[in-house]
Amino acid sequence: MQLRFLVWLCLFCAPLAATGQNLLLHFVPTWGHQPIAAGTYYKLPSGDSLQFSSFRCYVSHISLAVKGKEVYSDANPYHLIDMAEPQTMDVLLPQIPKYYELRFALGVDSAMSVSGAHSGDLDPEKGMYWAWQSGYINFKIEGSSPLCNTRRNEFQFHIGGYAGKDNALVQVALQNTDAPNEMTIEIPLDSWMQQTDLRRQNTIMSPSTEAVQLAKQLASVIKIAGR
Amino acid sequence: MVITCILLAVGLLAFRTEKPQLAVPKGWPKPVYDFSKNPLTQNKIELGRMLFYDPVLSRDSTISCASCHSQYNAFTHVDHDLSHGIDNRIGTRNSPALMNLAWSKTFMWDGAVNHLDMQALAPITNPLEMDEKLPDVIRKLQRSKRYPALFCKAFGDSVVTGQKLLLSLSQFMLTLVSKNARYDSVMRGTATFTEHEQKGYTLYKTHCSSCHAEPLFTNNSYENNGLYVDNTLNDKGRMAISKQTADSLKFKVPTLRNLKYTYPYMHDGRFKNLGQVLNHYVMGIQHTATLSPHLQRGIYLTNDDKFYLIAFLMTLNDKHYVSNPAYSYPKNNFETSEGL
Repeated sequence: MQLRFLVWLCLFCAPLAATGQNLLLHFVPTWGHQPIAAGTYYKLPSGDSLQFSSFRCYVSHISLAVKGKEVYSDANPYHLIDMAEPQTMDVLLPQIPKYYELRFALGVDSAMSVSGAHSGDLDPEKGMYWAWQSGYINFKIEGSSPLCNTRRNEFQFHIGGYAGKDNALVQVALQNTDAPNEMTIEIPLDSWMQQTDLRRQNTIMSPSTEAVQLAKQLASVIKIAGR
Repeated sequence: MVITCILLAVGLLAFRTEKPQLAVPKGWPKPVYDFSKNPLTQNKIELGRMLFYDPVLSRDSTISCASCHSQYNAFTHVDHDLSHGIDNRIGTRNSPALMNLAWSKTFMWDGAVNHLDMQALAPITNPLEMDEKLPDVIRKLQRSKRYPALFCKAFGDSVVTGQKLLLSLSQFMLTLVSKNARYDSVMRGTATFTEHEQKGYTLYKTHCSSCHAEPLFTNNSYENNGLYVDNTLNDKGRMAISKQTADSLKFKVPTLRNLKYTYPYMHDGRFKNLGQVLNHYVMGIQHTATLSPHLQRGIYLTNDDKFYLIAFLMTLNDKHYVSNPAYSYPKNNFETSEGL
């Protein structure tokens, strides 16, 4: 009698139990589906070229969901992904349950932008907090292109802003019913820049409607690699 | 048995370490700084004080916080309309006098900074002020002979981080409380105003207290007080931060405490003395769309009124504040045989 109950309990709980597996995520900015290498020149559809010197992005509050309901949440909520530091591009989520959907935010939520000095990836020494005006920079994309009529032909997109309609925090939700234990999240910068005319839009250093639009654009092009 | 317990309890209480607290004067509002995230400790305050006075925070180790915030001038840069920083570069605004910061929600003349912990980032990285980068400051401190041990004393380990630097600076700045002016003694009942000061107090309450409210002598809000726009600076004030046209030409209401030490006045230091300030309020107000509602009808003061008002304002000077050794240059810490 007791044994049957225990077996029934185990069968009931099994789907909800942790698979004992981990989920390893790789966040990779790409061009033409290839990981971006700093300093390498890529071609824009117009024939002009560009190269990237820096890609740094906060990925935060990673969670897993099944049928719309959250089943797992990253115990370490804030990750600063930095192309120049390859080890930061991998995020390990230990002991995950089965999942259908991966969710995360690009950037840092406003609560952290108004509550003073934080540690680790949120420490202002990482250079991702505006010094002259409070608030985190959600992502920085920097490089150069002959199209930019700026000093050294540089483009600098520092996308941030936490207040009101300048709130540039964006959410990403990716479905993957295969629920693998390793996934590459591709951030295709060529798709991101499709609507960007570098002659006219190349320097954003403060919160604005433009910044919000570029943040939304980035969220909309992020995908699971190979899908 | 009961007596033993009582004695034991008293004994234990006596051994409890005294943690510094921010003493809130009677009748003052509660501080808005969240101390639960950064509770005061003597070691962190001392570390913050050293950093405040240490020019290592600047690119070429010539400019410290104290360069523009000097204690003898109630922590401002006296006699400079616009402050100067590294390489004799002239800044864009007048250095605010630092005091009673635990009661402010936002910082800088335009409220650009939303938390005291983050304020130091602005002067450290501003090319006109200290022209340094936070990671470089951290590197310098970590390599120094004296700081790793001080960070260890304060935070339990000797790893210097941006967060620890900022939290300790905050702690020192939070201790800068000015509450012992003659006015405060009068409010406490241990002194009385002279006849002139009393008349000035009445005039202050009528004309000034809506923005410069007691006991902090500021309501920490942003107002346009009718200053004409200096077209060599074109400083739009809070609008640059909030992007709202309703905030055009609005600046943070400064405190009226310690005015004797903090001339010249206004965000660009345009008024050298209080006589000029009062003349502005009486005759010089520019009516623009965002002018403070409190100034719409103008302020009428006779010459006698101005005299009495200034007499009252002088009761807000706190000489204990500007000479308190706890806020001064930490001579003992710096002048040891250990170099940087």
